[in-house]
Amino acid sequence: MKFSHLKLAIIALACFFYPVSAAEIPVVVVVYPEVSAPYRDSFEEILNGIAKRIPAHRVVVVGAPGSGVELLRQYSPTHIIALGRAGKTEAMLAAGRASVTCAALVYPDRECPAATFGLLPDPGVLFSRLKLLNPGSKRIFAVYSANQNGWQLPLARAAAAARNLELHAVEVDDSKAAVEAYKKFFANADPATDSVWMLPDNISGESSAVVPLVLTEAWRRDVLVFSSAVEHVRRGALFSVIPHFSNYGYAVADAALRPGQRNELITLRQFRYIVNTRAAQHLRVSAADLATFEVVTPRP
Amino acid sequence: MNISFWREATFRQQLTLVIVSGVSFLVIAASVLSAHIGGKRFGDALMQQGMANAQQLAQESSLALIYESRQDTERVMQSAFAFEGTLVAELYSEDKRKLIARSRNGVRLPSFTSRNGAVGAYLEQETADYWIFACNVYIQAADTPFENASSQPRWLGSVRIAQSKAGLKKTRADIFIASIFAAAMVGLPVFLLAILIIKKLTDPLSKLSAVMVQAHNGQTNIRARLSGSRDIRQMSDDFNAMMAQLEDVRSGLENKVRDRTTALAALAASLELFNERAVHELRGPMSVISGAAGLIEIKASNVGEIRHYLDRIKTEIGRINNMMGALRAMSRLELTTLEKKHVNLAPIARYLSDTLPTALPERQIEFVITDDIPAYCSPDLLTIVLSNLISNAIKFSRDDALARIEIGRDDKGYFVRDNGIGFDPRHSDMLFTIFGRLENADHVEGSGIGLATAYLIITRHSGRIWAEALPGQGATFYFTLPDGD
Repeated sequence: MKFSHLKLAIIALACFFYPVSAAEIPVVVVVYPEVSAPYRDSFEEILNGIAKRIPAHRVVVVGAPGSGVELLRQYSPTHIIALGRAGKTEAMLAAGRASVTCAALVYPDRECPAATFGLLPDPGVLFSRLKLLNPGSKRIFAVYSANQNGWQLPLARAAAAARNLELHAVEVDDSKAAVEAYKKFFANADPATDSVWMLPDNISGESSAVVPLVLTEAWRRDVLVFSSAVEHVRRGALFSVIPHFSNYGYAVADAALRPGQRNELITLRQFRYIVNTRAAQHLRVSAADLATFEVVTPRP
Repeated sequence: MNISFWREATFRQQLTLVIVSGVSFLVIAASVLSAHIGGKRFGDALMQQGMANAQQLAQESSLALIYESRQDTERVMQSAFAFEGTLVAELYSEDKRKLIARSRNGVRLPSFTSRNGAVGAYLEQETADYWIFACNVYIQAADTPFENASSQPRWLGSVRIAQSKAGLKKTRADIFIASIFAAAMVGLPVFLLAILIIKKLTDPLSKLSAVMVQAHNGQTNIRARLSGSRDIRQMSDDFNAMMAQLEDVRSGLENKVRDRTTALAALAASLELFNERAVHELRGPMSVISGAAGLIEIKASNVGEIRHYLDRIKTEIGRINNMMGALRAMSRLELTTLEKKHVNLAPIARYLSDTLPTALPERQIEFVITDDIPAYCSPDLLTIVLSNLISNAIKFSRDDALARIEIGRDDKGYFVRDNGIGFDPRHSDMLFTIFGRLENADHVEGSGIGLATAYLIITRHSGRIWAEALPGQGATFYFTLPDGD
């Protein structure tokens, strides 16, 4: 009987010091780059969202590449939420046995071991809004570079087919080819049925030459242009989506705590629609349709 | 600069030339320096502007390089030629094709040597007339922190513009002219002020120079009246003192010349007299000799008479010898150098008083000699003078029972006084002429040269000799000597 008591005492001590008890408490560290406005505001909103889900998280702000690795390791994180390109790089250097969730990236990243939360919406979201605004739409024209936006094409084709739309996507390697493709399209574009889907691409969406060309020609020919990038809306495209960063952060944090993440890209789901009122006026978008947009630009 | 001109120039002209040259040099040097510095700064500014133009053109060319449309390239050219200094503008594609080129005034550029990878505008080439700037054209997507990878700039082509240096040359020339004008405006008052100062400074020297020229031309009683700085006044005072001294020396020289001229005239007269008297004096013995020789030939009949006439001939020949010896000694006096010193004539007089009378032992002569008779003279020559005067006194007191001869010095001068036969003072002048004899002295032997010799010696000492006497009351021979102080 005495012996049994001793056994019980030893077992109790062992249970007390068993490390599994520590592992059960997640240590979440958010690593993101030290940037100036307007990007700093975006990251702070994401952090706010993360804080709502994981109040006790730690934060590492990365200045020069590699400068946050040591601090990151000192925290002995179980989970790392890497925001942006610099956050991802820093997390990859210091991850160790911690799980890494990448977020605030434009497209899927092979280096990320778990899920990547992108900032671009599923093309279907945009196509649905296109149908809403112009039920007569039949053809969507897009120019893209495979390296940057090739991953969207399967999604886009599926989304177009689901909405009875014809996606005419042209892959290009340089801006001149993009210009030629756009010129060719505009030469025969029908504003009643044709529209342009612009992608955040520094080849097909080169900001100094290609984008002005597209927007100018579209304006001249009354062709509807929508984009996956909110910047294009501010320059004259009709609509896009703008991330709701706080909700986005919450979703990222929630996903980070869930085990068994797959290495996949999760498109932006926390967003609001944004519309360019000048383009809308030019294309005679109805007031009722305009009312469906949460954000307008330029601001009245 | 002509060296002879520089040497012939006055001090004022030299100073003025130096100031003018200096001011001119400063004006030109300042202008050249200003033009150089201003031109360099303007050139740097033009280069910066050219770089900025090339940069701006590159930024505006991206659309044209992507589209390669005529409309866009023309727009780029218009933009390039908006700047007045642009001579040529060219646009090159990524594969270095010349898409478009525009030229002002037909300027053609050398071939383009692009710099691959260069960021920003750069000076590609430079000629004497223009710079050629080039700038590569890139496009680069906005590099947001959300991009998975940082975007790299992509080269689209190049722009090239030639910018004229005409503006630089004109500006450099304008700066030079403006600088030289400004410097001249500043330098002219400085120059005028310098001229005034030079005139003020050199006026006393010019006046002094003019006075010196007058002095050089022989004008007398010239004095400089200069005002100015202390050293100038000192120079004036020194010049005046020098002129006064020169005038004194000149006056003294003139007096000396006059005295010498007088002396030479007297000497010439005495020489003429000497000739006459020498002829006369020699004619006497020669007549005697001639007569004696005739008598020997005609009358002498025996040896006694012949010996008598021969004695007469020997006596006259002896006289002639004595006369010639005295004349020779006198002539040598002219060549004797005067070596004056302070001496006491009393010992000399005593020596002579002891030696001269020994030739006449029958004579009783009392010598009264002052103890101290100081004189500044040649002792050798004064010994001759005293010897002649004492000999003369002894001769002319021969008939007195007790001859008394005094030698000393009183208010009139040095004297030798005797109590002899004296002479008529009206004939005293001829005493000192050579062969001069008084009427009452025919019986007295003598060459007639001793007093003339004394006269000559005293005159060489710049002194004076004369005699005071009355017949039968003795005679006093005075002479003076200049003080030796």
